[in-house]
Amino acid sequence: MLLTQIIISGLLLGGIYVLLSIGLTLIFGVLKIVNFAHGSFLMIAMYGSYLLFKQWHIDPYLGIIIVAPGLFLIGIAVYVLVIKRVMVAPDVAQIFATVGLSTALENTALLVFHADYLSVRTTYADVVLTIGQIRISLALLIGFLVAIIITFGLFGFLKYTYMGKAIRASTQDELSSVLVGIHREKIYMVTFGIGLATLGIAGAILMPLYPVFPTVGSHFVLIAFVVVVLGGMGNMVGAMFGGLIIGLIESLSGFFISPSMQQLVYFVIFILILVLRPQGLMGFKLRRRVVAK
Amino acid sequence: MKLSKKTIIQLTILAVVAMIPLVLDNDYYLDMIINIFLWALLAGAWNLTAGYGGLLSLGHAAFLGIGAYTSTILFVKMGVSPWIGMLAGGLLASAVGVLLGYLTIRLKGPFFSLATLAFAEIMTIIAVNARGLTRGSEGISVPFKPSFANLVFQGKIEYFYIGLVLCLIPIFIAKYLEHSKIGYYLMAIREDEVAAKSLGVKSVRVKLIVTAVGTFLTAVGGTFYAQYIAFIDPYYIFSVGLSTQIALMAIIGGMGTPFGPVLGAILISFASSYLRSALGSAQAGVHMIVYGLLLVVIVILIPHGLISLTQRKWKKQAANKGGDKTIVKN
Amino acid sequence: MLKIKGLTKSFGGLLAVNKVEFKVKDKQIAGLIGPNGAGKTTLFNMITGSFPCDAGTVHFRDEDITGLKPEIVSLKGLGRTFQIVKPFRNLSVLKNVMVGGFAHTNNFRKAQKKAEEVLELVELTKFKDVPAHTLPIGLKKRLELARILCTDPQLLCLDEVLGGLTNIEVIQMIKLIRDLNERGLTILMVEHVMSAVMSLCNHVVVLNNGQKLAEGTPKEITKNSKVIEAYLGEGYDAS
Repeated sequence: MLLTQIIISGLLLGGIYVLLSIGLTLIFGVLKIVNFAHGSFLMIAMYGSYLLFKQWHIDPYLGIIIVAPGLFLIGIAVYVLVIKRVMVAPDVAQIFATVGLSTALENTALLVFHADYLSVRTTYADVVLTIGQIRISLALLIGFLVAIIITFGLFGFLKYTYMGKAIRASTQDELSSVLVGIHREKIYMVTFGIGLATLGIAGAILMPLYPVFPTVGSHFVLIAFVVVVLGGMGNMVGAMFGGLIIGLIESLSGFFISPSMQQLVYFVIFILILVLRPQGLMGFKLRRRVVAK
Repeated sequence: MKLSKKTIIQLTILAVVAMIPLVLDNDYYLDMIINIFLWALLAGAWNLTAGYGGLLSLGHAAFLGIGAYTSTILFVKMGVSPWIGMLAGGLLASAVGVLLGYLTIRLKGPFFSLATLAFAEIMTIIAVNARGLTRGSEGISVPFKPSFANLVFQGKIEYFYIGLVLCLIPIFIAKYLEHSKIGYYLMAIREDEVAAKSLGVKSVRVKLIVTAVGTFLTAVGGTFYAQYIAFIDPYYIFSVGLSTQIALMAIIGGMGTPFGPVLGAILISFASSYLRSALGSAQAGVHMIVYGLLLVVIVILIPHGLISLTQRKWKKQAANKGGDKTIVKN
Repeated sequence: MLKIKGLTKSFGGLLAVNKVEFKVKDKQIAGLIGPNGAGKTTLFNMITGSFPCDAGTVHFRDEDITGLKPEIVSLKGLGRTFQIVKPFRNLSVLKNVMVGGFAHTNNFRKAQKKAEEVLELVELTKFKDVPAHTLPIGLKKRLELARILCTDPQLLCLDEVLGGLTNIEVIQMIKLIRDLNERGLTILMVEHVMSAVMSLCNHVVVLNNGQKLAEGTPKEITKNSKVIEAYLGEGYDAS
């Protein structure tokens, strides 16, 4: 059934979109900052993955072991150098610090790698599995599985480890969490690092599926924002639903509408949500963070 | 009319600038200055909405594009003079800006910015797909038929003076704001919107007014751009890069001040030129790297922009004269 | 001047204000007292339009202003101050007050002149060019008062305007409020400083748990056993 095929592809893609967005929503939930450079860090992850493959023939999925911690460390560095200093600053500083970062990173990539579209061709990249009447790209399936594992891993981390609980406490009531002895700075730093680490993994699983080029981040970051706003800024479960829904929408609209108009669908959804229901599907308590009185 | 020392200096500078084309015959430099005028206009217009109005738009290029496309389509398809097209584009941009502003008015800072970003992207997609109207991804060229009515000129001098006049408009508006009801209301809203409302400030209306003016001027800049560069590329004219560059100039120069954007435009333009000649055309992206980093640095270290460095000198002198008491006892 | 009927508001499961009803007459100084959490500030916010009302009406000078936005309510002549002061921190004292001055004029000079007059009235003139955030709390409260006075209100709602003031400052503020009332301003004040309420107010409303507990002259309510039990405590002397 063609429709089933479309739906399955959409869900698989959606799973990857979840991983793409979860870092963004986590960072917003804890640091209350909208990271406009989210896409640029994805780009770094993808280039990193690409280089590991090109130079040392390390498969992107294996490369996660290097790229994810690498992005984590980059996250720590960026937090200390930039983010920390704009957390208490007015909106202008927060927005444009990350925008400036994004601009600098994208153009550095342009300088170093030029505007070429670079791809990773693994031996199994073209394998297509056939289950019944459904055809699934192996890379997409693996990507989906990794994304799901990591997402649930993250949920588990947040629920069961001390650090995870500390992070959740910070989202809920900052003052109380400080009073209980949670070291706020450390939480912010770690959270930002984790957020970027998830991008590291997302970048690695995207490499077999998409080419990398300097502005690839912009393309995906808009999707990430739509997912996060749809699900509710700061709400992780929301990001999960949002990702799957957007994946489905992309798959369906790709079939029914021309590809160039596909993007239009996202942006219109995005604006509609911001205008009509800014807290997204699940962000009941978060309305006040998005909308002023 | 009493003219303060400051005003006399400013007018002198203006007079000197106005005389440049009479003295300088070099097209390269004239072109650079005309570009500065254009950027100063665009940054100045953004500054009105963002610096004074507090609405941090990351999609301002959308209005640039609306202005450019409106006047050019009217010119190319219906032979309407770009002067009228400029007005039409401005009014259209204003209307769209107010509508968008009204819909997003309650969104907090970064979310408002995201909405404007999305809007700019939507405009790109529309422009690229509405081939019948906009010639799609090919872009539109403005035909070279020099005449005043066509706003197309053989040489640079006419563009120079038009550009000069245009870039002064945001400055005059900003200065007007500093001594007017709407200006005070905008300051109040920026400081504490709830308190402002309790004093009768109709914050929605005030913000929309400043949005209307800012987007109008941005669109006017768009028309000027189209007429000067003579070509509109839909991927560039609505782009985030362009919006960022405009905002960047205003922020680095000094948001919320009349001259900040001009200073930003001048500095960035000179920096561009320098980098281009020092590194050659192969390193096309380098200047953007520098700007990106500069933006981060300024926003963290000198949040009021470079112009605040000059103002501090003035303030210190005034304070020393008046015997400033900053700690007050009952 | 002010008529409130059946005002009700819930926040989630909590009934913060429950069918509150009272009147404030022209030129009165009315006090709104009650224990913390009684719903006084919520009630204020409902009157001035900052919070929507779940039920009930607010009539100001015989006009129904229920649910109107704060800026509109203010322009109609109902002004308010905030419990935690909200000065325009980076603006000078004069500029702060001028924002109020523009309420009924578009003219810069007129607004400035009016602001200067008001500053004179509250005795803040010598601080007029000082940035608002450098003022100590007592003067900030006076600034907040000056600012709203500049909008020519007919009814002034003061939310704990005496909170955080020293004894001397309290006396000064009481005198100022009395002066303003003598000039024709009706006042509704939320207060915890009972000495002020007793000396200033000719009409008092007592709120407890979101409901009106009692209403009357200061003497009457200090003798009211319910009020004593809920808030005042035994042995309170109305003089």
